Amino acid sequence: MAYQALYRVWRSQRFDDVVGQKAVTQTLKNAIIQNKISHAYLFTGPRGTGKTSAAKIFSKAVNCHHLVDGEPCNECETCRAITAGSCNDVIEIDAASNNGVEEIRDIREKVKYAPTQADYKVYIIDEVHMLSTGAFNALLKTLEEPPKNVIFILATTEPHKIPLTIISRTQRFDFKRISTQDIVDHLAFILNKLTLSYEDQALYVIARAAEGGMRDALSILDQGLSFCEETLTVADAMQVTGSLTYEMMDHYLSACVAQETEQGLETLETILNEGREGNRFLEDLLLYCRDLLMYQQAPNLLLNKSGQLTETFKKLAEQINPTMVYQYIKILSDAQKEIRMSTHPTIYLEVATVKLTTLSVGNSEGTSRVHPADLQEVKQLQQKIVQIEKELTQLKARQETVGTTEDSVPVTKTVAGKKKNSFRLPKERVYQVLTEATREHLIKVKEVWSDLLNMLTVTQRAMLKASEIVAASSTGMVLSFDYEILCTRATEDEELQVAVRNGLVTLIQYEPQFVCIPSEYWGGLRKEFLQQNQGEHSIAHTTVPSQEEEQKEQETPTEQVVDEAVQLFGQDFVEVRDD
Amino acid sequence: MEIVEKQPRIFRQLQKSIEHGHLAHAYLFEGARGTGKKEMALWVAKALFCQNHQGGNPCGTCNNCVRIQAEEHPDVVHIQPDGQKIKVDQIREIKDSFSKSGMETNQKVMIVEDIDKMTVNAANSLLKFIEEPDGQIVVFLLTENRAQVLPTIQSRCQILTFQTASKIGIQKQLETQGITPKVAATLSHLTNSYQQAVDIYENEWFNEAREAVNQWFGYLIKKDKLAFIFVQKTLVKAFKEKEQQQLLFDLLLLKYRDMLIAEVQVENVLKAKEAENPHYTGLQIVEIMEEILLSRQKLTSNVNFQNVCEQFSWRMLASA
Repeated sequence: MAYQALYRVWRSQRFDDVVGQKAVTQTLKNAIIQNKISHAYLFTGPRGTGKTSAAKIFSKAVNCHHLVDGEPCNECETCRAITAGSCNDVIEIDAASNNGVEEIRDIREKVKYAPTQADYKVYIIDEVHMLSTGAFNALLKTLEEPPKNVIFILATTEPHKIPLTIISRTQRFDFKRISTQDIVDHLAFILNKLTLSYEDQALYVIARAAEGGMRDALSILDQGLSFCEETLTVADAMQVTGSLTYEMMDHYLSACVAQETEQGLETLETILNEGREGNRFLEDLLLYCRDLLMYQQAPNLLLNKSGQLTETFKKLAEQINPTMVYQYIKILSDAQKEIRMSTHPTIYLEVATVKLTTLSVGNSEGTSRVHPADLQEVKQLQQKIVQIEKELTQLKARQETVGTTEDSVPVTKTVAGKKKNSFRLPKERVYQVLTEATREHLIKVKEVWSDLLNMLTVTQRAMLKASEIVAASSTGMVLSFDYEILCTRATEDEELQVAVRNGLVTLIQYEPQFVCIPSEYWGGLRKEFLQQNQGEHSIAHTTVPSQEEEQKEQETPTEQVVDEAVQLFGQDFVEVRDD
Repeated sequence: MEIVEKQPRIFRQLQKSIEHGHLAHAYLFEGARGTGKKEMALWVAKALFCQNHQGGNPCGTCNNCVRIQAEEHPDVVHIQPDGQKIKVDQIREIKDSFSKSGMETNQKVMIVEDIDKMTVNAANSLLKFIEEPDGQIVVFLLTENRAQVLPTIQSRCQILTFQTASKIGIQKQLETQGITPKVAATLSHLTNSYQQAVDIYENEWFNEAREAVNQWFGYLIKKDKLAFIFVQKTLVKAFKEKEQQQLLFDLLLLKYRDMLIAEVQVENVLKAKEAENPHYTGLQIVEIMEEILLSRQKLTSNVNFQNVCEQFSWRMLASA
C-alpha cells in the first residue's frame, strides 16, 4: 500500500471530527435526528475547511441504520462501502471535469431510478462552480423537485459563481476558516496519536501558514515530518513554511525605519537567497506591522498571543509612529497584489523596499509624540513662520496704500448692486471669524493645506486649488477664491465642506466653520473690518446692513414685545397668541 | 551541475521520503527558471523505476532510467503548455490514461510544467484528481510563480521551494570563461542556470540585443525624442520572437535596477559624476521600473510589441 498523505488518512469520518464547524455540523445532525432532511444542500467555504468531508459524512448519516445521536456508525456495511467509495448510491461527481450539459442530462436520466443498496441516492457534486451556464440551468428543475429519496449536495469554494436560482433552491451552509487554535489542537491530537514528538511553537507556525485550511496544515505537517529528524522543531516548521524568523523581519524593518535603502536591499537579498518565497515574505511583514500597531495600543494582548517578542521589536514599536505603519501596510499590500500577476517577484519586492525606505517623514506630522528627529521639522516650521510674518506685513502695507487711494464704501456698494442675484457676501460671518482670528491658526491650517488637498477627490481638489486661506480662528476660517463661480459652488457644496472639515480634524484636530469669499473682495472686507474695530460698531452696521440682519430685525419685534411683557407681568401671566 | 549540488536540502528530503516509502502523491515544485525543478522530478521518477538501485540513487544507465531521461517512458507522463496555456483537453486525456493501470508496473508519474499557465478549467479539473488519486501515482507540478496557482491546488500538494543559485557564483563561473564581468553580471540576472547563461551568451543575437537596449536606454534617460523613433527603426526589427521581446524589457529593467542600486550606494560620493547624465532620484527610478513591469505584463497579455514600446517611450519622455 502506497503511503497516504496525512490529510487523506485523517479525513473526518464523523460530524464531531470536523474541526471548527460546530454550527454547520450541529445543524446537519439535528436535521438527521429530527428527520427533516432537505433534498438539496450547498456547502461553501475556503479550501480545507471540511466541505467534502461533511458531504461524505452526511451521505453516510442519512443511509446508516445504526445512527448514534445523529452520527453514522462507520461500522455497518453501508457506511464502510461509502467510505471506500464503492457504494453505487452515493455518487461523487467532479463538476470541473464534467461541466457540460451532457453530463447533467446524464444525471437527470439516472435520478429517476430508485436507490439500489442504500435508502437514499446522494449526489455529491464537488467544485460545482465550474459547471457551465447551460449545465446549471439544466440542473435547475431537477434540483427544485427531485424524485423521492434523492439528495443533492453541492460543494464549492467560490459561491459567487453559482447562479442565484441554484442557491435559492438549496439549503446553504457556509464553512468558516478554521481558527489557528483549532488547527493547533488538531495537529497536536494527530501527532500524539502517531506518538511523534514536537515543539508547541512549531505547530503555531504551521497553523499560521495554513491560513485557516486544515488540509494545508496537514500537508505542511506531512512535509515537516519527512523533513525533520526526530522532533518537529520550530526551525523545521519555519523552513518548511518559508516563514521569516522574527530576527529577519526586525532587521529588515529597522532598515526601513532608519531609511537605509542599501541596508534594506541587502537584507532583502539575503532573505530571498535563503529560499523564502516573496509572497510569504510580504504576508509575514504585514503581520509584523499589525503586531507593531497592536503592541503600541495593547501590549499585553499581544504578549499573551504570540508568546515572545524580541527586543528590537519593542524598540521599533516605541520608535515608529502609527501613520508610518499605515503607509507601510499600504505599500506592502499593493506589492502583494502586483506580485500575484507577475513573474518578477524579486523586482517588485525591491521596488517596494525602496518605497518603504524612502517614505517621507513629512506625512507623519500631527502626532503627539516628540522625537529628536522632529527638532529639525520644528526648525523648518519656525523658518516658515518668519517668512509668513514678513509676507503679512508686506500685505498690510500694500492694503493701506490701496485703502488711501480708494474709498472702500462705494466699492462694496457696487458689489452689492452687481452681484445681487449671483453671490451674497457673507460679511457677518467673515467678521465673526476675523474677530477671533489668530495667526497660529492660520499657519497651522496652511501647513497642512497641501496634505488636506491630497485627501480630497479630484474634483474637490480642483475646486480648492484656486483658493487660499486668508484667515482662521478657533471656530472658523475664511477661504478666498480666485473666481466667483467657484466661490458660489463651494458655499453650496456641503459634501466638500464636510470633507475638508473631516480632513482637518484628522490632520490637526481642528474643526472650523468655513466661509467662502471671492478674492477680489477680501481686501475691502478686511479693511472695513479694521476700520470698524477702531471706530464704533454702529457705523459699519448702518453703512451696509446685510439681508440677514434685515430679516432678523423683521422677526425680532414680536419677540421683544413678549420679552417686555414677561418682564412686567412675570412668566405665569403671559400667554402668547398669534393672530 | 548535478541536481544534488543544486538543491541539497530538497534532494535529501526527497531521498529520505523514498527510502521510508513516505512519498506524497502530489508535489508542487516552485522556483525560478533554471533551479532544477524538472531535473529533480525526473530524478525521483528514475529512483522509482530504476531496476538496479545504487544506494538510494538511480543508476542512470538501465533501460528505465534512459527512457525517463529521454522523456519516453510510457508511465512517466509530461504535460507542457500547448502554446501559451495548458488546456483542459490535455488534462482530460491524462486523467483518462491514469484511470487505467500502468503499462509496465503499477507505479505512475505525472510531470506538469508551468502549471501557472493552466486555464481555469484545466486547473479545476485537476483538483479532484490530485486530491485522492487511485493507485500508486506521484504528481509533480512545476511552477515559477506559486502565487498564480489556485489555492485549492496548493493545499493538496506538498510545496517545495527551490532556491536560486547565488548570482555571484554564476557570475564568477562565467567570468572564468572569459566573459567580461559586466556582461557576466547581466547574464547571471537573466537566468539562474550556468548552462543557460552560456547558451544565451553564445547566441549572436544576444550581443546585438544588448547593444540595442543600451542605446535605447541612453535615449530614454536623456529624454531624447529619438527614443520613440528608435522603436520603429531598430527594436521592432531586432526583437521578433515573443521571448526576445520579453527579454528586451528584462534587460531594460536590469539597467534601471543597476542605476537604482548605484543611486542608493553612492548617494553622496559620486554626485559629481552623475551630473553628466540627468539625475534621477531613487523614487523616480522606482516609478520607471514599475512602468517597465507594467509594459511587460501588457506584452504577456498579447498587446502589440511596437505599441507597448512606443507607449513606454512616450511615457518616459513625458514624465517629469
